[in-house]
Amino acid sequence: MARYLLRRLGQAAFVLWAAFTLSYAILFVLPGDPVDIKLGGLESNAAPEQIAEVRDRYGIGDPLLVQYGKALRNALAGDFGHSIQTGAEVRTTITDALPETLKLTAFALLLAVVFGAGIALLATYVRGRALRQLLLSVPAVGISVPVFWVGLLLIQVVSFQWRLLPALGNDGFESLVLPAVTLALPVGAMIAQVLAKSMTTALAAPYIGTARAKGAGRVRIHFRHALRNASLPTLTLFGVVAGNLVTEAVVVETVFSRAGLGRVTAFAVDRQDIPVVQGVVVLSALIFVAVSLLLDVLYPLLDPRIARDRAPLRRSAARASAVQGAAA
Amino acid sequence: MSSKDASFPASPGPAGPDEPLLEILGLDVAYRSRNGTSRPAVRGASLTVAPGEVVAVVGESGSGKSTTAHAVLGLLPYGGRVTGGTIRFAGRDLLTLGEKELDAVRGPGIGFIPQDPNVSLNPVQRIGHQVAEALRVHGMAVDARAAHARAVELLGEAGLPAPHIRARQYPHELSGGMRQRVLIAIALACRPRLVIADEPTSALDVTVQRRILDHLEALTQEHGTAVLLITHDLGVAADRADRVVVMSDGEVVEHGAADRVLSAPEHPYTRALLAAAPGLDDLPRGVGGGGGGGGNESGRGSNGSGRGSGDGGADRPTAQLVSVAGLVKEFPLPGGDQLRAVDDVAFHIAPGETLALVGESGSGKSTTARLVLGLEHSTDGRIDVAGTRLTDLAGPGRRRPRRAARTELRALRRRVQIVSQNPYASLDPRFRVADIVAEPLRAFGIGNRRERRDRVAELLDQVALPPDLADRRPGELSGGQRQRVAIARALAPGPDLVVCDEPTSALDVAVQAQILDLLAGLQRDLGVAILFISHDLAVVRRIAHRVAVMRAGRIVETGDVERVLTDPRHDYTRDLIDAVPGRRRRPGPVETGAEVVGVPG
Repeated sequence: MARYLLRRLGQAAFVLWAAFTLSYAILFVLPGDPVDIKLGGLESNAAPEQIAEVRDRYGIGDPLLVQYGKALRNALAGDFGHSIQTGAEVRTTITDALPETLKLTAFALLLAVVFGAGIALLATYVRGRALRQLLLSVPAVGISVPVFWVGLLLIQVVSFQWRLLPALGNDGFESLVLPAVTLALPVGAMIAQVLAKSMTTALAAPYIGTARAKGAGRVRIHFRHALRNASLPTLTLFGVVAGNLVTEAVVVETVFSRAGLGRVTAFAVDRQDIPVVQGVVVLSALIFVAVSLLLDVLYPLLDPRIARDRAPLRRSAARASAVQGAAA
Repeated sequence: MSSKDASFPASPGPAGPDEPLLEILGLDVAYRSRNGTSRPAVRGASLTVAPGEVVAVVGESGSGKSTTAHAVLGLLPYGGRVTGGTIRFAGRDLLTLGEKELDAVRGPGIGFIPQDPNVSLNPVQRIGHQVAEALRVHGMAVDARAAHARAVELLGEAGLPAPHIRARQYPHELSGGMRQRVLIAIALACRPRLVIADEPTSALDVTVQRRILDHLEALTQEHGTAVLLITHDLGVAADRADRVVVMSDGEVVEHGAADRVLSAPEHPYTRALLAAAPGLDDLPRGVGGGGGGGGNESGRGSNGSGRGSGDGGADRPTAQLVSVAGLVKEFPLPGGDQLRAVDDVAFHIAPGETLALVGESGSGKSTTARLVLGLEHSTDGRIDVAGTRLTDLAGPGRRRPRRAARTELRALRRRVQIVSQNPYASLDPRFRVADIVAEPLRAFGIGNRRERRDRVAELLDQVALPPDLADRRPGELSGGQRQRVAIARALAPGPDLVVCDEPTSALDVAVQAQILDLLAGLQRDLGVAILFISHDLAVVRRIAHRVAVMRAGRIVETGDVERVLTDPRHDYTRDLIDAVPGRRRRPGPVETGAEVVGVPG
């Protein structure tokens, strides 16, 4: 277990470093100059000395590698410098905005899992063919409509026509509902589709026949036997979407005019505020890596065939084929 | 003959005065297909099982025997439905029971042993838990601890060594034979009055199969349990059953006492089935007629000399087509160990000769075949094929420059072709038959388009396939037809050697016999040599001139097929021969009792 975890941690560190470096490189080669933008765009009439002073302050004049090395060293200490636009510390800019976004994404994830898994389990449990088909068609609809459109529709209907929930802003739990539902819809739909598919596969497996021949009841077979076997693909999907949810929040926060990391990101990208953008990119990577790491610990607990001292898929598959080749 | 309207008297056998334990009358089962039509799978099947009796249901795939068994338990796969008839068990009509009532019958009333132990246990639950569950769902244990303790006892009864350790393991940590014992423990946990065993040992090696069936027999006899044994193997039925029911195409065509049905079959289908079943008492290859060949009245003149090599091998001075010496193949295991899959193997094959490599799973026979094909690199030793030293061309023993070696290897590939085990998986489903057969010709740049088309037609004719099949795709063909296509493809570039890796083990007995006859006939006509990999001695006897018995990576015995099967010199060979089902009712050689290891994995 220790070796497995160590290797995973090493990979996580590499991913974080790569995210940092890549975002650094891309933002560097983008056309446009942040200092120009800060000082009022191309038609600004700032004095050359003023420009030089700002450039010095942000170290923009140094050779690229020196800038990079400095930035990396600071980033390791959690310091991404100061926003070029507002002058505030990047760290506080992000940590101020983060709680609202975390609240939103956590609530959205909860909704997505509860309803997505619920629909999948119900659809595979009911006996009626028509009802099953109906339930299974719900997720497809959820996936095919775009997030911003659903958001606007919800605002129009729930807030303006029914006057049930606030449309915009960050006022308490009530204002959280609509954006969370919007964000949860595609995620929940994906979870429902993947889980329903793997439940159907699991329920057709021969070991389910064995369990039924024992006299085990339907509920027991559904939840004790099939669900655990069907959960791995869903868990993998969950990891991907949970890691991406912060990014997806950008659109939803814009539509609902919520303060949060999404707004900060949109603002920073718009103005090429490199330190802030970089902070957000590294934070996204960090969330992604943390979720993956958590899943890697969970996999072997759910399925004993995934050995802990090797990567879940690639290596064990290679070993299996080697042993099979030898045994055949 | 058809028992549709036969009112079953309590039949011969130890039925006793009271009514039968299980009585199936006029059972109809249909599967609903995707387009809404209904396809009958069982039509008017009737059979009875008396208390304590062993009844075997025999038939080929698609005969409806498994469907009948599943219908009894209410476990028909999706789309399957009972459309008529009754199933009475211990006085109750099972078809009228609700889900809950049926759950109460499954387990305490009827135990079930499924077909393939490798996929029939839940992979994420411990063995002990799965056995205990059978007790717990019926309230047959006061608490989890008691259930676990009883589960360990049951595993011990099922013949699992160190049951308390096994109970804490997961299915993937056990060998196939051990898993089947776990499934037996589950089926017998609630002491059912009837056990339905659906091909319980078809996925296992013969020696394991025999021990599992012996054990099951002892357990059911001890508890007076009746057994409904579903099997495609007439030998197994002959060995184990009091009565035999023969099914074909969804109908029961014959039933009666096992001895009578198997010694004096009345229905033509039963007779055909018996004739097709390979047995060790058949005439071996080359002696006599060769079993009604595939439409060719023998082209013996072409290589009558092929037989000469049969009686010993070493006495043949001419050059061998294949010569293997000191062959070793190791696979790295997790943890740095090496698995020696092939260990100091040596053999040779003369032109036009068939050598069979026989062994159980894990014996290294398939790995040896892959080494000869150049699909795997040997760790040590040498392989000469048609004058080329294969081991010089690739792997650790490579002596040639890479480019030259590659060219030579490719040239060699043309002379060595393969027919693999599963015709359902080895043909590209998107190719037409003509494309499949022509592919090796294209790959080696043989002939132009028209010549290749003519060659394909000629090949299809050689494997006795109608020419209009050329435009079909594999999905439209039967298993036997697919294997004929695979053989045609292998023969396309005119190879000197064809490696057949269990080419008939996925096929029904009747089809199996046809394919074996076809191979033998083609060999006579074309003079091609065959390396035949098999676990089945009866099949080997039909096709091979010489046989090499492999065990744990080594060849333990080699020689003329007749000599090895009638006068085996190695204990393990004797064990293999004894394990072939269908020998118990005839005076056979005395059991050796030699210890056989179950190879896990």
